[in-house]
Amino acid sequence: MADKVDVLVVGSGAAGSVFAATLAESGRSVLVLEGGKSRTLGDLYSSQIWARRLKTGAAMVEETGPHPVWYNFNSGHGFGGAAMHHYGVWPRYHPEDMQSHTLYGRGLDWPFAYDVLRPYYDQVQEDVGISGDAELEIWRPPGAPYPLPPILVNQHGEAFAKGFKAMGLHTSPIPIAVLSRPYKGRPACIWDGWCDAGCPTGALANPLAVYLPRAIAAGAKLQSESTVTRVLMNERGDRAIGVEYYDGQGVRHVQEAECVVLAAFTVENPRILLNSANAAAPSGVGNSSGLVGRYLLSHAAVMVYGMFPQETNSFFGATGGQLFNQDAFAKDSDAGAYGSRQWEIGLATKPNDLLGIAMSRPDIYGEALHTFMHDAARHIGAMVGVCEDQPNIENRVELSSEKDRFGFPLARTVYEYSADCLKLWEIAAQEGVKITRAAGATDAWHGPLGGQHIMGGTIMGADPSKSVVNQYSQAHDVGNLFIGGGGVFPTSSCVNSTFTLHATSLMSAQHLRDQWSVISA
Amino acid sequence: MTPDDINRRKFVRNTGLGALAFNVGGILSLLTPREAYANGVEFKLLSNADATLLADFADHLLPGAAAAGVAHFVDSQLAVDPQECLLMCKYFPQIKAPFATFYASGIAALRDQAQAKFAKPFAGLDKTQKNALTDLIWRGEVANWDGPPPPLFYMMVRSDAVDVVYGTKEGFDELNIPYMAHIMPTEKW
Repeated sequence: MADKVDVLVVGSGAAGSVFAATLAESGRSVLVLEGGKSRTLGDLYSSQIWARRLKTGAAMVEETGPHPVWYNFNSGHGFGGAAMHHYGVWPRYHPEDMQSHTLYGRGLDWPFAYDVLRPYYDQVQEDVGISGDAELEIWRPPGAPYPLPPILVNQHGEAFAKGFKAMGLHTSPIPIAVLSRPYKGRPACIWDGWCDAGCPTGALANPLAVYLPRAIAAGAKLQSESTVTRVLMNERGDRAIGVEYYDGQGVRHVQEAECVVLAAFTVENPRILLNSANAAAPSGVGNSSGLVGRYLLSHAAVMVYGMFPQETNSFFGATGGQLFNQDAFAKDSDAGAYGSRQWEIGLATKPNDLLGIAMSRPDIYGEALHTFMHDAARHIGAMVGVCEDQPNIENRVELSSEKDRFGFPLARTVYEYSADCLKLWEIAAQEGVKITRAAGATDAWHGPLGGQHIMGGTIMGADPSKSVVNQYSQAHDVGNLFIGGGGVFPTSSCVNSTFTLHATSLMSAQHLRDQWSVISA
Repeated sequence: MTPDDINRRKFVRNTGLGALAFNVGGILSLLTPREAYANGVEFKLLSNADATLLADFADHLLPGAAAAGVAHFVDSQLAVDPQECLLMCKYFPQIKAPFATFYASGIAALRDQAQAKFAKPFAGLDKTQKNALTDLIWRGEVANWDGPPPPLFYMMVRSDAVDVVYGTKEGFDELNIPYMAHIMPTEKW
């Protein structure tokens, strides 16, 4: 058995890296166990084919229910986790997202108001460098101005902006964690459109570019190919004493720790907690509420495409887009459908892969596909609409009867979008096509229902009988067990989750740092 | 490696998809899929008959895919750990590892359909017949299809074809758009 550490972090992605950096910099001994392989920025080849290495491929999750959450597409594997292939679109949640039940009688409330999280948003954006324009982003909640000016807008963004304007809609520069100027030793983006393949220059704020280097510099240790299967508990069942994990050769290990942070992705965290059932907690660790795995959340997304007479040069830019719109953010913006919507506009688009040119028209084949590819290579435009879903206790992660090579039960997800969300998606799809036509596209179309971002499953709340963790993402049942990531979100908003999970993780990690003597006692 | 260590425009000629490790005359060699096809390299996992049919179908979906080595590309990736697999099929919740099962089942169903509808192998069909069968598969309207969901099989093979034809630097050149790599793939797959 290895030496006991102060903080054991499970997962090296966005949330885990924030915990690791914060705790290591406070002088704690930190070990990060990552299930996937080791990776450096130099491994991030510019290729949509090679980019697939960043995503999960093994059958770790069975997806059931009417609507898959697209686990393998949205998750990650190896150092940096899912954030290695995220696009860096970093808007903030709005105040009303966190008081949904109080204000509208819908959804769930967060255990704190937006103002509590605001300083952590500000700190994270200062750490990573977000580009944007707080004035032009008229929907933006209060917060410090962006540290960097907006990113490039080329013919692609300009083409869509014309359509939004014609429809009486506003656009702003997209808030994005991609550097428009050199920042804190990292270079500015050169807009080559390879964000999805992982940014090797460090211009996009992935974990290998920002928080993991800080964690390592402060003494944190990263260990790859270490799949955590259980949180180990004391006999009373009220404190975590470490974790069980398996190395790449399938050998079982135990690692003891004063505190355990589960930051292994939204689906994996409940999988581990449920698999950690013991005599004191027969339904799983941290699960006295019975809600571990419950209230799984996703966003319904619609890709909208246009073929423009002028060149768009959409191979340039950032994959996350150039412009932004939240005109339909108010929960009652759309008649007959409760919830928020947003547009990310002018996505850099390469020829292949799921969101590439060819897959935008899967019905075309043969010589016609060659013709389409040549036409679209310089003339296609793309944007994505993202729609809020409502928390539903029946949407969940549970354990499968199937097991992986370590004998670890697979996760099974059960998911169905709410009627409100599906209505929002229909409205967005129709609106997107109208905007694109208004922009002058000679052809405009939208893609099928897609799932983007995965949240919930270990939700936070003030009432231990109605939530899994408290406002500091600390398990109600186990004082030295923390959960990192979007799994703690009780509502999804329509907003990309990565900025907010950085903020909640920072708040949680600083609480652990500041209350160390109490929590570790 | 830090960002400063990276040559941000490290172009390498004649790569883009990357070179795969193939057994050529008992020696492990790095070849592109196109080179593997041209050299008649043995398949690692697919049977010759399945690989040929896969290439024929892919070439119908995107002419040029067979010569670009689509069958060797797919075969090489079916032979690796699913976690390291570079096929788009790994994204899809309906397709479980090992992915070879999906391809084998789809190829068998395609073979059966060509025989059932036209009493010929797929390669022996004329363009009109291939189009008719392809349309049924893509629309999910093909009767007695004993395989994975037909539109899903169509989309995966089509994606594989697009990968080898247009997902490479040569493909970008063909489309007259710049590849602009930060780092080109050069290592063995």
